[in-house]
Amino acid sequence: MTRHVIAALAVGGAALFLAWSAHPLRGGALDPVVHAETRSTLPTREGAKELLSFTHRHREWINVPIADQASVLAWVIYPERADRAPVVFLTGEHLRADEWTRAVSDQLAAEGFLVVVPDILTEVDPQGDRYDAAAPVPNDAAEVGRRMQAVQTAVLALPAARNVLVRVDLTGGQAVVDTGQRASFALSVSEWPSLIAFLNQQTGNSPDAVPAAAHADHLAMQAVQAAQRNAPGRVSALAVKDPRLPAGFYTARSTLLDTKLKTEWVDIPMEGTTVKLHTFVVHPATTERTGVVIVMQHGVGLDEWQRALAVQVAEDGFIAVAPDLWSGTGPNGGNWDASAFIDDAMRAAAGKITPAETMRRYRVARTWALGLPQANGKTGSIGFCAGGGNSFRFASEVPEHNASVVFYGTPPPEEEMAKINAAVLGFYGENDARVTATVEPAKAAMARLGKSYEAHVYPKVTHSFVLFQDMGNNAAAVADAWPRTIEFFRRYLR
Amino acid sequence: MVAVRMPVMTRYTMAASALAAVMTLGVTSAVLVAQDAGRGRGAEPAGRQGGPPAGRGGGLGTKTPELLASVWTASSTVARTTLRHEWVDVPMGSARLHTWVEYPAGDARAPVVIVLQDDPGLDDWTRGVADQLAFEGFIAVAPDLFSGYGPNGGHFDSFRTQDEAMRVAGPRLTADEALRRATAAAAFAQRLPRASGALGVIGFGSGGTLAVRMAAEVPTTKGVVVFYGAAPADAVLRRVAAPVLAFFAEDDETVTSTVPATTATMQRLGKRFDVFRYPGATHSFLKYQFEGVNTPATQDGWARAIAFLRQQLQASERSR
Repeated sequence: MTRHVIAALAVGGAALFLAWSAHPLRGGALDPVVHAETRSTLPTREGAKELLSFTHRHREWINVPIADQASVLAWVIYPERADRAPVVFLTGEHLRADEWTRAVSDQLAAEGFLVVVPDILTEVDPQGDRYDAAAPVPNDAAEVGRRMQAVQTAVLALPAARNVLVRVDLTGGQAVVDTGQRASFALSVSEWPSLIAFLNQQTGNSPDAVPAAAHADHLAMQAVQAAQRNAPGRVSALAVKDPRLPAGFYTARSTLLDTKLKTEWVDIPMEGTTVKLHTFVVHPATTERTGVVIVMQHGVGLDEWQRALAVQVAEDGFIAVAPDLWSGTGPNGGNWDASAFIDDAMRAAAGKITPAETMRRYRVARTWALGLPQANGKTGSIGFCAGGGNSFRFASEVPEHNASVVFYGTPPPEEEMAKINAAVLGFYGENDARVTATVEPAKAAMARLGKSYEAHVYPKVTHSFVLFQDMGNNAAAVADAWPRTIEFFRRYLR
Repeated sequence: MVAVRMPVMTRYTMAASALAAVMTLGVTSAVLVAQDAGRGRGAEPAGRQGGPPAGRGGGLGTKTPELLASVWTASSTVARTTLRHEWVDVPMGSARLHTWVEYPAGDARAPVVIVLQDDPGLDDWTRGVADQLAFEGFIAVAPDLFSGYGPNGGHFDSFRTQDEAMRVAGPRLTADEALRRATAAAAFAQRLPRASGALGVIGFGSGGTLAVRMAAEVPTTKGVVVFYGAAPADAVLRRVAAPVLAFFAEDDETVTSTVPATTATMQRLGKRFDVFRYPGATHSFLKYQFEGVNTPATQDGWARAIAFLRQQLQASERSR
């Protein structure tokens, strides 16, 4: 039998008082716990060793006799306070007092608790030599219980301990607290204050009453920071695309390069000009007929990000049609991609494509796309920034249009809104005053006209939040807005 | 030798912009603003970008001459700069640190500023920062901290895409290795024939943290500029002799929430630490300077950064 299994059995045997709670604190009938400022945090596993070697708090291993010839080990760490402290009886994975569990004990001590971590499976012989408990002790629930009781009795007898004890078990990524009432807390930095507040409430511990121990806390925190020095660097969230959400600034190119969907450039003739509408098309994986979504470009043109957005629209089951609105404005009559740099393309196109020409070009794209064999006759549009405004306006220009999604774009005037038949769905950032100020008036006008317009304004979110997902709460806004977008298109384009 | 000031908490109202909540420790801000008048010397700004003059083509595509480039204008700015620039492979043990060096106009000696990248790597935007520093009269030295981590031992620019660079090289770059590289860049920079001997450092995000660590490691550092980066451990701060000027955005909770503790520590240690916090601005506000109130934050922060570096680095030249 391996150690691991033995230990697991031991944990099972000890389930008498370490029972799992199916009721997390928030959902249960317990008193609400107010989040308090804590003077501690959940240590990382990487930082545990350094925290333990840095901490200022008094700590020691004690031998707790369990038989004439043997003892078990327990780790005790003391808070810096003049009065007696409530006790936390802390058990870790496999009932071992490993480094991380002891680091957690240090942080609990920072809150004024005297903490004991039993090392149930380590025995100490009369000569002081330590050895791992052999079978049958570890899988003997009664023996494990007896040893834990011995440790508990020993620690409550310490002069520094108040006669109040709460058991906390750290297994399975949670802290399960048993004080008669049971509550479980996720082992996360954000949940840590809730755990502390609950322990304080259950034991009558008042951190304010604990004499200041700033130097110890300070050193402990410093150790945590120091431990990060040699930790592997991290993968920035900016570099990882959620397959269900559109790419951001940094993931656009790889999204385009790696998509398995069929993509193509088509040059659509336009009446009265030799300029052709250079259009990026992404076909969905489905072979069924489906709706067309016209992707209306943001202020820097049909760049990689905008095309990656089209890929996501097709990933979600629609024919994505992304015209280069600036077709023909580049050097030598070229398109967006004829310019060497993005800002060159912007300058080249500036003032050349009027609002009327914009609408004309998107009409051309729509008519062309409806001729695709896979098109089911329904059309939607999605636009960003200036393209958001165009997506809204397109609904008034094309009465047959079915659905317009607007990301941080402004609405057309009310007289144009009157012509809209399509449903309109808009997403805005609170920190985008110029655009977001138009939302309430647009809602009022659309309501007066009996039109369908749903608007979401996200707090602490900026303009261009789908592109720049690393600002403020932008990433959270994308996670909320995109599923709504797709649901909306499914509703109106199928 | 930097005089240790007793930090005094003062409320400073910015005259140049409506940004209100500014917290500054120390009494140096007025001096910095006064120094500001000397900006803009050196290369002629108009047309340096190579394209048509500013004013045509709308906001996003136009670089303001006295400000660093945004994420949209950086590539053309770097590609068309008229300032002398070069890639140098700095020997660093068995490896080589691929480093972008850009010089101010003329051939006079100049102070050096090390430019430390954010998580996304030494991209065009970061080199745009170097270009702007060179324009302002500094020798800008920007090491590619991902050097050698690319395919076949290549650098940042050998990766197929930027996110791939972040995913592959990011985890390989430990904090200590990043420090070793920044320090190697500083040692190299100080030996450049045109280097005046004065050394500063500027960093963004995680590069801001690294900038402070570099200053602790390289005692000749005379000024540290941090944009939205959390402070390193207190033991490191204790060894920082140079004044630190730091900028944070209100809507950047992860980083900005660390500021009060850092401020308290720096105060306790008697270090000069000037902090500006911009309401409503976001993380990476220089890169995304066109969004929301990032524009005034960029205008104010960048001008202060340049004035601070000029004052710190030129003052140290005078004292030599």
